[in-house]
Amino acid sequence: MPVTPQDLLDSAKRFDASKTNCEADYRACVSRVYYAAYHSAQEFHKNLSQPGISIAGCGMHKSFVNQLQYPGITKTDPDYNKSIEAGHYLKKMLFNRTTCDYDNTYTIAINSVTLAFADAELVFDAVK
Amino acid sequence: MVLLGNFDQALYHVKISNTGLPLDNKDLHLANSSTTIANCNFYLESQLYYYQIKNVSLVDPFIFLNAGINCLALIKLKELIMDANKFGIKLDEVKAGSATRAAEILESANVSDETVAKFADVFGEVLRENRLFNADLHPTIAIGDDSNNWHPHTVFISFKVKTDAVTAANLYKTSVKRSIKRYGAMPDALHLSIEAA
Repeated sequence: MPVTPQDLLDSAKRFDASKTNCEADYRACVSRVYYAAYHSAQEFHKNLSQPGISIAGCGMHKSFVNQLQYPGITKTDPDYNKSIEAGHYLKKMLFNRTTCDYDNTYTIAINSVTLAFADAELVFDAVK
Repeated sequence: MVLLGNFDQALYHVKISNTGLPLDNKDLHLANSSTTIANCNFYLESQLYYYQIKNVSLVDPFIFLNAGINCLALIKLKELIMDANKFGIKLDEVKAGSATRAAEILESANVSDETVAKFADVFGEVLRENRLFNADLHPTIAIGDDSNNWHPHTVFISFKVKTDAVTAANLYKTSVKRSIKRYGAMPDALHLSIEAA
């Protein structure tokens, strides 16, 4: 059976970076939690009758966030607002994940991990 | 740390206190009025006071800089920072730099201070309902631009409140849902969130 977004989130929870007191672990955990939320939102988006509007000149993750925030479905579709909502949460998660993956000048603390888990739950909840 | 007072009374008394001010301390009073109102999470109303500031040399630099960020009048603040530079007034370089960059991003995306306040007022409404306010002097600003390869450029504004992560996430969810229902998606150059401090 292929791995599910929930499996990825559960894996991140088992990893429990809060016990290691190690910034590298915090960074890895924020990244892993982001991908759980990303795949959850992708499953939702794939099932929409029309894809959202993508933008050129940015990476695939940012473009995907844009597709969620600017849905291609009609406003009367109950998934319309859900898509905007998931895109909003995922955008900040992506920003934080990018910082964790690429910016070593910035100190990542345990509260970034806590925030990532809280935001991931919001994405999962939005696309239910 | 919660807000205990009466918000309507705060608005009323700040309004009254701004009538018939002597000219020599009017701008300082406007900055302080703006801060008082922004601390109650009323952003549009707070900006009405901040926008009346004319002479930055009459206001303590710490006050006008933090008040501008607090009421999210970043474009107006950029003008005042430029004036302060002309007067040779020394400012917190990190804060002034971040606020100026945020204003540039918003301006180039045609997002006015008023638009920022419109969305922020929804978040403020939710925070007021829960009697919470910013744990810091003002909302936290982070920049996504060429320096961190973020396109299109975005100003990330976080309201950091003294509560637990689950409560903060619920307030964030309520604010986002209400904001979407009222105004649809935020402009791409703007992102608002609530976090536990």
